[in-house]
Amino acid sequence: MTSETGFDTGLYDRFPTRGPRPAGELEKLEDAWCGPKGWQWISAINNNFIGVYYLGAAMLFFVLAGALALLMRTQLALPMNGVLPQETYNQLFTMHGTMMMFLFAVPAVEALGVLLLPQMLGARDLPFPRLSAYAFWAYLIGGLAFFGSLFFGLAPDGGWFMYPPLTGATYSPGINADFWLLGIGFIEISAIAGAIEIIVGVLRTRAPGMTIDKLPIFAWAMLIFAGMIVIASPSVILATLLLELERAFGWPFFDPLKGGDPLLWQHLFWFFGHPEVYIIFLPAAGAMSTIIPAIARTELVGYRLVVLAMLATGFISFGVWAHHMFTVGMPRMSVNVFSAASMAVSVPAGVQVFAWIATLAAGRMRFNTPGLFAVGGLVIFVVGGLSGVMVAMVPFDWQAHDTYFIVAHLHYVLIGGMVFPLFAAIYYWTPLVSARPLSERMGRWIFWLMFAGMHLTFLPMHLTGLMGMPRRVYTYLPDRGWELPNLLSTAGAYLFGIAVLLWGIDMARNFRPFRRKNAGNIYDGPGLEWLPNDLYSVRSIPVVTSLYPLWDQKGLSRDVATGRYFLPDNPTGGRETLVTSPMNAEPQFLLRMPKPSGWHVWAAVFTAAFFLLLTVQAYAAAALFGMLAVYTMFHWCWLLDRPMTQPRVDIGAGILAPSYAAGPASHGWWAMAITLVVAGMVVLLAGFSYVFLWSSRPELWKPPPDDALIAILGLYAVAALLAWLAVRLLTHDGPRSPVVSTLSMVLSVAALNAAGGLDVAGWLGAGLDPQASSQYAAVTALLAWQGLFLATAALMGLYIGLRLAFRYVLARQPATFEVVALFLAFSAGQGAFVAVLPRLFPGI
Amino acid sequence: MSALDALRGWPPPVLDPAGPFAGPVTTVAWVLFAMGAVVLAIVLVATAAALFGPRRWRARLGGERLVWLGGFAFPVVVLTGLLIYGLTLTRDLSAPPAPGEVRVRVTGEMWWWRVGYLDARGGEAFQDANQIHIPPRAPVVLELEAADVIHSLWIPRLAGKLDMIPGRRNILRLQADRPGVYAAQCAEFCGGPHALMGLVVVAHEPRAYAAWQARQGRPATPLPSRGAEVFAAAGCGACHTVRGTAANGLAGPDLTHIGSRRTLGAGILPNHQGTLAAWVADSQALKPGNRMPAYPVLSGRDLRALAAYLEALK
Amino acid sequence: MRGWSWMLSGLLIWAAHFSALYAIASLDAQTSADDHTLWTSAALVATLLCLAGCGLVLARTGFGAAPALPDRLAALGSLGAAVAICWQALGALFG
Repeated sequence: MTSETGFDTGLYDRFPTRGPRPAGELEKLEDAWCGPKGWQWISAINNNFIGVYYLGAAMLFFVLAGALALLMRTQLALPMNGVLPQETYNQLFTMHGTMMMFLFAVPAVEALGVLLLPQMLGARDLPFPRLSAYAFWAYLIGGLAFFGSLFFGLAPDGGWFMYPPLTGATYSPGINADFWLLGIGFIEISAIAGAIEIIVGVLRTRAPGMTIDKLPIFAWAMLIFAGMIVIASPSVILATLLLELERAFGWPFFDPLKGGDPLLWQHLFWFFGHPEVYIIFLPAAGAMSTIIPAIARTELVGYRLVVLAMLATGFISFGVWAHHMFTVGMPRMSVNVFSAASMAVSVPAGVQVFAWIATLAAGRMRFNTPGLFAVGGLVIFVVGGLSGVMVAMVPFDWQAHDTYFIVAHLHYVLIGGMVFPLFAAIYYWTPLVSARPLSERMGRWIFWLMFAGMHLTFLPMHLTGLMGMPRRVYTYLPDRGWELPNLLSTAGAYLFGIAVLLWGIDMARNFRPFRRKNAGNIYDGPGLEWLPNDLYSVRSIPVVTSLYPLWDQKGLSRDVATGRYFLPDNPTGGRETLVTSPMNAEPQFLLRMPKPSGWHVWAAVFTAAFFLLLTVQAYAAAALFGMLAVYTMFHWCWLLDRPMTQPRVDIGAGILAPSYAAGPASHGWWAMAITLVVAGMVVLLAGFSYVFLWSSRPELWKPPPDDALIAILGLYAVAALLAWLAVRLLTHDGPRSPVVSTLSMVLSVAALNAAGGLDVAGWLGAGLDPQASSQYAAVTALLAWQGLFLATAALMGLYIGLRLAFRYVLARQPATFEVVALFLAFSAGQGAFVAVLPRLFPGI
Repeated sequence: MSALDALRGWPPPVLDPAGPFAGPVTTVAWVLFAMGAVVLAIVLVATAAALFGPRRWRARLGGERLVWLGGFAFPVVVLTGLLIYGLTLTRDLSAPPAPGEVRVRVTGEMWWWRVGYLDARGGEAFQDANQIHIPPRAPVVLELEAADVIHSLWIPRLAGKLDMIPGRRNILRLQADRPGVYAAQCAEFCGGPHALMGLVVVAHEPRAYAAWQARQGRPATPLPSRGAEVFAAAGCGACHTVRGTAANGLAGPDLTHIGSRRTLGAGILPNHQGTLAAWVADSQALKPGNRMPAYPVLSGRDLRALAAYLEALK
Repeated sequence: MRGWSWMLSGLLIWAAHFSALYAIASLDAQTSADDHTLWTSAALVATLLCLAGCGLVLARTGFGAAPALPDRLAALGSLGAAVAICWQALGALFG
């Protein structure tokens, strides 16, 4: 294989090194990576801690949302039952769905990634440890506040897909819906932060030699998962923003009386909502594809087919959103195309199922708890997949849609496709983080109870649906024959609840995290995560030559543990990890990592407070906390890109690597690029919404201003050019280059804001009134979105100026400038889009 | 057959079609169940063989060939067949209405149904609520609209469901092959008592349909009674219309012929004097959250008189 | 970037086809003419173009003995995409 970076892969032959390691090396490493003491656990950023916190919080929300389900099943056990009043029930089912999707399923798999990926990839930690800690704290605080709304009767009650107009200000005047909109928007920010972390982690922090064809299947799954979050969640962020704007300010995006269209919400929501199902499923499937080979002690059959299947799922899942809308009266050609795509998306699922079966056949299955959960999950998932094919048939969906048949279908898919694999993962990987494994004996009980409870609950629901019972009903009339299946479902739900209770007892008795010594590789797994490890992850970072390194590379554990591979020490004295190239994992540079600090925690607290205060309409306090959040983030960034002390360091066996990187080689540039993809998706979908709103009521649209479009575009071009120039100037080693370069960057910010100002002035001159029509509302939203970027650009200008004042701007160290320039160039491009689209479409 | 008998759930209405817009879907359902059973059996047998089978079987199963055959080739063949079947049926079932078909406008409102019968020119001949009367053995066109939030009309024995979306009009066609009463339900969550938003579809013999139509088109002819006085004094007319009297409210259901309806409260109660009185006295206890206030001020005597008056509006 | 585009080429072709058909279906609904021939033909042209693309990718990679992972994924992706594209085209034909 040709080299990707110019690194000579022949150097890998120097490992494992011989001879004794220098004294004190290990102590220095331990010192840098020491665990938190006392209250420091709050500021911990090591993935060994954050991963466990994260998964723990996700499981807490699983139990809480499950408890809500038990309450609902109690109410539905009998017809016209009076256990729960109607409004409470409506809140409960909304919260159950929302929490299971947003507070349990996505965070749980994301947490699994944060916990496992560094170990699996042979990295010391994820590339942005404070970002994942921030994501965790934001999620925990936001999630608890969201759940707490139940106790005040303020929980949202419009269903987890929150269709307007029901959720608009007219029919949901309370702040309940705002809890959903702001809470979910906020939690999506946390999910995106985690996704950036995971993408950069998987692509850039793999052990040397772990080329893309030796990437563990779970890492593939997490990579695709994170990519899907980046593409899908902008849609729900946009949707929640638009609905919140309509509720708070009366901008009519969904109100048909002023040219809005309730269907716009459905398109935006499901463009996120359906991929969401696969976002949840893929990591769990990746876990299955990891656990099944380990338990059957054989390689995964069809690794490449499974990788392709997961990639194909990632793509095609974006072409099926409207199968949730077969009953809204869409044109037939659209319906048909979505039906075809919905069929197509089931093929990759079939490929994975048969790869698992073939793997079981090729090896010899051990019937331990992870194995049982894996096989049980497979069977349940197949049932859910088959009912999925049924509802992909449009005429059948006309009957089954919004009935208990769908409730059965989605629970089979999600429990078989995600919950059972997650429990398999918990039992399989607990020995990695706990001093004691979980109990095998209890595990089997839990499995069988859960398996039986699952079928008893959801199998009858297929029939209940065909018998005419719609979903989301707080009660039902007697004498419809619905009593028996509902009673069975309730009994099954309690069985499932008992299983979860037993699991909680098992955890309480055996889960002992954060000890120096963990139970280790009791299942004889083949992945790097089973190398002997400590808080610094592996003692040295191995050269990987196999997809199953612990099975195929003899003596690897010993050599790694005695420091005979890459980075056996910490040459710069702090926390570090190796950054490698995305395809071939060739070492590129040594990444100096941050130490624990409180800033990201405060940033999370203040961001959460900001959103919560917005929800309860305490706008002044919200503004205060918003500013505090910005300040803490500012401070957090302030610690980045400090002047380097040693340009090149020994990363093991005398191999030298830079300790600084800027531009596309650096991890920070990648994170910014991914963030901008998110932003680009938001503005692209906003453009879609704009066109969609026009198409629904073209006769109401007014002509745009015929003004300075050329001037606006020219200014944006100048801004992009100046940003580019700033970076070029800084790579030039002149005595005045920091000052000139900073000046160029600040001018770029000024040009951006001037262009944005011209754009807004043009529209105001044309009588822009966002409450008047969907056209004006959409234009205002586009301008406001661009305004957010211009304000951020101004902050960045301030940041750059301060860095110059503190003499942090140094020639040949342009990492920060590269990142800022990328942002400014994007803002210019986005500004041009925002200026052009509403002026040229639908035509003057 | 009484109205509430029609609401029974067995045999499952989706599998017990009563017209050409539901029948083919039932066939699809059975085909799909058969497909599902076969595929599930294949997966279970393969899994069992992989786990417990003799070494020779397992060697045959444990390779990429199984993944290609079971995961790719087989699904592609089956799904291609299903897709063509589904597309054909979608086309047939969503054919546009022919001119001259009976048209009824059904408007979903929080949490009841306004039903307007349209004349040949598309104007509304008269209004009714919470039940749809249709002639048998002829396609009927329902124009679905929504007044407030999204609702969805689902009459499982006659057709699949179709949403009612504010600002849009959807066209649902259905046909009953036999006279009878067919249960229907709102299928899209519409807030509050969405669970209690039902209706019935009544298919008459052609002659009975014509008679019903003629009767419904006429205004009410109530005799002066104490019930009529209570109706006027309690202000019922502010929300309800009784054609032929001073009551001309538009917020609630038209009550001109309420006595002839099969159900009360949008498909949730049988309709007789007792339930009418109970509904007026405290509809919030029977259907919490509905838009009609309770009338605790009315005495028992008043309620009985009012119920008698309403029941007489046939 | 080029490596990734090549590896995902088949799936990218699928995405292009899906977007094209979604746009065509929307335009069809927007113009609301009774005659759908124009848009059906547009869908067919898009389909043929995309299928040709899949064919090209397959021809470039072939099913050699042990291709590198990116080539293999490109080939498999094109094969899968071709199936999905045919199905979507059927959907448009029945529109």
